[in-house]
Amino acid sequence: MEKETYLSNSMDRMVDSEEELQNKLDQFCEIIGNKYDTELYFCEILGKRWSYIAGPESSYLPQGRCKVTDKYGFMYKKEDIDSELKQEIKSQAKKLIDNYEQ
Amino acid sequence: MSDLSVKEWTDQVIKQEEIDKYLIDGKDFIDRANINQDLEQQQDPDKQYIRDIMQKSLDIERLSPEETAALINVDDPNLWEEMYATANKVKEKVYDNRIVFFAPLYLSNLCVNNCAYCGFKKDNTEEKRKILTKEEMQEETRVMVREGHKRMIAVWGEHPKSDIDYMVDCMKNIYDVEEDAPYGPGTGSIRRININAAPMSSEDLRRLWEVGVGTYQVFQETYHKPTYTKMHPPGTIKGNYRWRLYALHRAMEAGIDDVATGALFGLYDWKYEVMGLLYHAIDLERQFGIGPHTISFPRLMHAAGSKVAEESPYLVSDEELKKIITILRLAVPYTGLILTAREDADLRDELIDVGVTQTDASTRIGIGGYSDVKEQWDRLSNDESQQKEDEQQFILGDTRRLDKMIGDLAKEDIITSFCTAGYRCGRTGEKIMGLLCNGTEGKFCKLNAILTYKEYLEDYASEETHKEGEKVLQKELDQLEEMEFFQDKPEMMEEFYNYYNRIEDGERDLFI
Repeated sequence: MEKETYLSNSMDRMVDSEEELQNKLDQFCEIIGNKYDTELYFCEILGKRWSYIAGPESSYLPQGRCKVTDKYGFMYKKEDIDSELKQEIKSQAKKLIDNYEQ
Repeated sequence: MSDLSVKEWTDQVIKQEEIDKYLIDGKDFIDRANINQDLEQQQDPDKQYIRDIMQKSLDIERLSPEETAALINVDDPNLWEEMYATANKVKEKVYDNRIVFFAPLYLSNLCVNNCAYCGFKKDNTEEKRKILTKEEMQEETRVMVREGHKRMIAVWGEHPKSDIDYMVDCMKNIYDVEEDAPYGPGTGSIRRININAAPMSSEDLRRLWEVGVGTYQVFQETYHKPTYTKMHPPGTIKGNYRWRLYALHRAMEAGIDDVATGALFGLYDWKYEVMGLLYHAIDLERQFGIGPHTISFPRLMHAAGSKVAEESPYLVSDEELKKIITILRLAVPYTGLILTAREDADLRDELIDVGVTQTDASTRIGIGGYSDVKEQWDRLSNDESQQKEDEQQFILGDTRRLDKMIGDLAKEDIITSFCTAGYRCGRTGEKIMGLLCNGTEGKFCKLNAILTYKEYLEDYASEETHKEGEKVLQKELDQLEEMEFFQDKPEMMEEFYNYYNRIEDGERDLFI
């Protein structure tokens, strides 16, 4: 519950901001990274290609891939993010992306 | 497919403003006087200087033009042996020891250009012209997939009938194909389509990007402008040197962050061409922060209707080709290097050891060439079919089937990779360049090479190749246990072995 509330409050502020999507997703990754001591990055989905668009540029080995919408998804470290947290991140990311695209 | 006439279509291809925007003070990045000066001033380089340069390559730093010119001018055979060995070390540091396989698919040989050396040139009346239909390209793809291929490079001539609409349709049609594997439980498909197509506008490139293009490859052919003009008649699209020179810049701007360059060695002095490739990489780095994803170095070969190869004073010997690959590996350590089946089998096996990262097998370069041999391939493990000189852009030197080549490499302890993970995990462009330069990508390569090799052996390998391949797999798995990088990553290794076991149990397309 603590995870959900934290994310939800941070996301509400970000959803309302007028930043470009890439900046919003950068901030999103930073919030998640700081809170859960992990890293994730976002990709644009183009056919079979997943192309990096936002998140830390540091070098690490992702092990998980989560499709958020038909157009966007994120890569994450499985050892840091369990399935419950993944679903929560996915849900908040979807909200942010959907809101931006409206 | 365009409704315009050939002339109308040809007249609207080049957008001058999409050249001019990349020029610096009205000049392009190839300065003939500078290149000649670089080569002239670095004659008889000192041994220690060359060793210092090699150390820089080992630190995965791109070399300067002066340093590259010094390498080019080395004469001492013993120093060359050191350079060959260093090139291989650089490759292993960046990409590990794997070699990635792909195959080309020629979709159309219609062409509006008239390049002196090319079998597809419009004045070559002996060439049988053909453009594949949806059904034909999907049948071609099924044959390739049944061989075990996962990566393709799609190739078209430049023509209104094979314009951007056709290319986009091709990519969708190819990606739709799925085909059961001959031996194992897998269902194969092409997971990454790279393309070799004529230079195009940013708008057209954006469309390729949107359908998931892998790497966009355009060879400059020659960086030496007088030779370029001689080989590519003025008045043709390809006759515009700068439209081609900035094709990859436009691709980068359109979002395609994996771009590939190359030169057709043999048109002009190979030393000049190596410098041209380097300057191309430098300008991409300067304008976009990243260099080419791969560099290719095809050699001029005999093609139907072309006398250029017979008459060229610049043909490259086998030894010179080995030097070219070595210098490129050292000069641009982060880039992939592609050696194709133009070269014969023995030479290819030798050249792989100096830094090549990708190559092709079961290669058919006639239009419809895979369907032509489908029945024969179902019966025979070797490709004994004849090449069709009147339907090919050039003649192949190595017609080994994929299974045979993988088996041959396995005997040399070289693992084959069908990895397409980077492309499907956001590890492309700037991101992959960073990972390549710090050696991390090579670790991904190793894990994904093992997983995709395992898939291949289960689904496509002959008994003999399977047997040899299992030995390679075991060696690779043993190496993993010893590698410091993986020792503090138990979760990752657990995941890797989980994937490995699941592949053994019949799951497919699992990657790290």
